Parts: sequence; C-alpha cells; structure tokens
Amino acid sequence: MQIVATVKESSLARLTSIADALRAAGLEDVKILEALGMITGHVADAGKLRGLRRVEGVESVELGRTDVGIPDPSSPIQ
Amino acid sequence: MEKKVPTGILAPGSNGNGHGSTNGVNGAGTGSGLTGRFIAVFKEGAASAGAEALERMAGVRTASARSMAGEARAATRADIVFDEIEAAVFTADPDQHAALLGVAAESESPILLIEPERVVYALSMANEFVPPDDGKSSLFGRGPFDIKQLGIVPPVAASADVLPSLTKDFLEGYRAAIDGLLNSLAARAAEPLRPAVADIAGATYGLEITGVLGSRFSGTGIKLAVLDTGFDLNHPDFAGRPIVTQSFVPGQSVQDGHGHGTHCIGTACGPKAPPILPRYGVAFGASIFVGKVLSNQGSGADGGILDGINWAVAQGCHVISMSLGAAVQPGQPFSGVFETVAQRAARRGTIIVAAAGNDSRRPLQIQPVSHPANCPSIVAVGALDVSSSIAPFSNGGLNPNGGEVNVAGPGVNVYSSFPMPQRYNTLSGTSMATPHVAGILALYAEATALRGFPLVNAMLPRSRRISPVRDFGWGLVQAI
Repeated sequence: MQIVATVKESSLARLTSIADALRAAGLEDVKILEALGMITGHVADAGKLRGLRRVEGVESVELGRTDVGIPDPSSPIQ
Repeated sequence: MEKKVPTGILAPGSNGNGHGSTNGVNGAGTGSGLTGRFIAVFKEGAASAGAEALERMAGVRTASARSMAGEARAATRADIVFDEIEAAVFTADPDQHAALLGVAAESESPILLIEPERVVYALSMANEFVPPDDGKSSLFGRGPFDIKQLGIVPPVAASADVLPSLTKDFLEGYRAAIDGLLNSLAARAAEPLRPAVADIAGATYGLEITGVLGSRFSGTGIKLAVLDTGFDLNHPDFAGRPIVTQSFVPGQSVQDGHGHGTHCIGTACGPKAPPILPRYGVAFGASIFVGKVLSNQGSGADGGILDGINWAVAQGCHVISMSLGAAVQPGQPFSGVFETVAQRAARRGTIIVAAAGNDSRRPLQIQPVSHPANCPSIVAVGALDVSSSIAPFSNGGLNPNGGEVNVAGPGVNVYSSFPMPQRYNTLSGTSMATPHVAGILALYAEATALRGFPLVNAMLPRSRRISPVRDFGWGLVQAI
C-alpha cells in the first residue's frame, strides 16, 4: 500500500528524524518530499498504519491513490 | 498591523455583485453605472510607491485609510489608499486619468491597473452573472476561496482589538471599494462573446477566445511545470528552448511515449511562431519544466505525482499544470494530503492547476470534479468548445468544500504539438483546457508579479462569465 504522511507545520524542521521514526515503525521505500513537508513510502499490510500515525510530528497518514492518470493514447477523450 | 493579502481562491458570486453595499462611495453613482471615481490596484508590496506615483504623475493626493477617521473620510470623500489590499480609490479629471493610464502601462510601474469605479446595484445588472446565494450554495462561499479572505472580513472581525478606531462608515466604504473593484473587473468579463472561430488566421480558436493573441505578455521569467507523460525532447517546434526535465516513473525516461504530455506542454508553452501554423501555445516565453509522473501508458499514482510537485516547488516553479486525475463519487471528500500540499506550495509561490475530469456524459450524466482538482486550494478547470458550450465530458461542481469548477478553458478539438513524426494532433478533454489556464496564469504572473493565491485571484474575476457556475466556475479564462 502506498502511504503519504503529512508532517505537522511545527515539526517541518525535523523531517529527517521523523522519516527515520516512520521507517522504524514499518514504512518501506521511505522518501522525503522536503519542499512539501511530506513523507511517502509503502507498507505491506494495513496493520502498520496505527504505528505510523503514532509517530511524533506526523499530522496524518493517508493511503495514496494508485489510479491517478489519463486514458490510454487511443481514447478519443483525454 | 499584519498585512492582509488574499488567501485562497475566490469563489464566483463572492464578488459582492448584487449583494454588496449600496452605501458609501458607490451609492452616489449616476445612471452611467460609474461613480466618477477611479480605482487603482497596485502591484504587490507597492502600495506606497503606487500612491507616490499617483501624486507625482497626475497630482492625485492620497491618504492611508489607516490614518483617517471614518467620519472624516466619508465627509470629504478624500482620495484614499487601502494599504491592506494595495488599492486606492480617487477622483481624477480626464487629463489626470490619461496621465495615469500612461503610468500604469509602464512595465516598471507600481500600478497594476486603473479602472473607473462602478456603481453597485442591489440587483444584478442585465446580462451579468448572478451568484448563487440561496443559503444552500455555501458550496461557493466557504473555505479558503471565500471572498471573506479578500481582506474584508478579517479587519472587521479583528476590529475590536486590532482596529479600535474604525467606524461603520469606514468599513462600509472599505467594502464598497472592494465591491467597485470587483465589479469593474467583472464588467470586462461581461463583454459579449465574439463569434466562434475555428483554427484560422494563424492561431487556434483556444488562443483566440481566451484573449491570448491580444496579450502583450508571454510568461517571460516565469517557470511553468507540466506534470504528465513527459515530452518529445526532439520536437522541432521547441528546438533551442531551455527545458528542465525529470522522470518520476521508474524505468521510463522523460521522452513521451504517450503523446498527452507533449500536447499539454504545447498548449501551455508552445512557440509564438511555430514553423508550421497555426500558433497553439500560450506562454511562449515561459521556462518549461517537464516532470514525468504518468507512464507511457498513462497511469500514475499519488506518490509519483507528489514527487513531481515537490520537485517543481523546489525548482521554484510558479505554476504547475496537472492534466490528470482520478474519479470521485458524489459526497466523497477531497484528499487532505493534496490540500495541504497545495497550501504549502502556494505559500512558496507555486500554484497548482488541475483538470476537472472527463467522467460526465452530458446532458444525462454529470459527475463530480476529480481528485486532486477537488481540493479547495487547487484550481479546477472545466472544458468548453469553440462555441463556449460545455464539453459533454466535463465534470461539474457537485461536491462541496472545494469540489467546484473554478474556471473553464478550451478543451474540445484542441490542436497542439505531438511526438514526432506526427508532430501535431487534435485532442479533446479537460486535460486540454488545463494547460490553457496554466499558461494564462504564467501571463498574469509576468504581468502582475503576484504569486500564490493572489495570482489566481487576479485572474479569476476577469473570466468571461458563462452560466451555470456548476460547470464553468468564474467562466472562460481570459488572458491579461
């Protein structure tokens, strides 16, 4: 499952340590989006979500949509 | 006092037209619809310089609203500068007005525009846009795009502790000035539609009906990112053009294997004089940033798209065009992540524009605005055709809290660049309308030096009104 964690405004200076804490809580493929104050990654099962949400400095944890796109090239409407 | 600038994107119908004050400076108008006074809007941060320019160039003496008691102001009808919204209302004879127009036209001028102040009527003027105001349409009057963010309500709400000396007269005058300003902007948009034209006279209909062809701006100095399927880096129409690229799709280069990205970039940033006419691009002077977030098959995910947005923001892009989306159901809320992202991006001077989506099959079926365009702080773009009729596929503003369409652009039979060897293609979709709006935002960014939400709020009220708001938002986007 793709995960997007929003870091609190007040904790934006601690992005790296929050990413480490998320990794310790089970987040894989951790990526820091520094300009946005977001951290993305994957978890294997939904059971990890609660732990991710408990990380200090994390405002919210959302599942990322994986169906965001456009029609295939043959479609008349793009 | 803290400087108040517009935050959030204005909702149509929130301009006070038909609901604004009939008191104060506007109440003294005549049948001409004009008050005989003028409104000057200063460039961001240039209120003092603008006031000086008014006096130096045309002998208009102004005083800060903050330094005048309300009664004195009302009695003398003095020329006045509203520091918080960086605008001034003043009287001027025709000679002065001509001189001021000259000042405003200079590129280094601190004055963005000067318009006659209009009388605000209790009811809408003929042919003018009627905002929804039935109490149920809070859809368009809530959240960060509300007119209440335009510096009107905050001082009122804070008057007890921040502005203790303000009086009702002062505040009504303040509100009336805003009403007049917004109505003067709206009046431009109320001009009758020109006859629809096909792609003739060397340019596409999309550039014609949005006023791009008449603009003296090109987006020069503005960074515009298109997050899509990439770009044909060998396209001859863009030879020699500086282009910054990055792929966020694992295993795929930026080179566009779909066509969609090349088409959208062509609309947003295509050349002024392509080797083969017609012209199809809006901001031919803008710097192009290509972020590949959709695969060559057209698929993408939130993670990669956020990656692309992060990159564009870090690059200092002023506008991000996202002709992508995922369907949402009626009643489904927007993504908190993308809303936060849009707010944080706007704070850094980056505005996100996204397609409203193509899930509708009008007239029988209208679907809500897609993710992530349904976020309150993302500009949602609907599609119309050469006759300014709604495109049958274009989604509508059905969901509350950001789910409205903000503005519409040309999105039916849009001609633009396409990967070689085809070179050009004609496509339809809200995907095609979106880069028109993004390109036009780049023109406004160059012209006004505004960034973030104030940039969007400079553009939206100039749209050409088309009903209903559900489908068109503010209407057909217009260049500056």
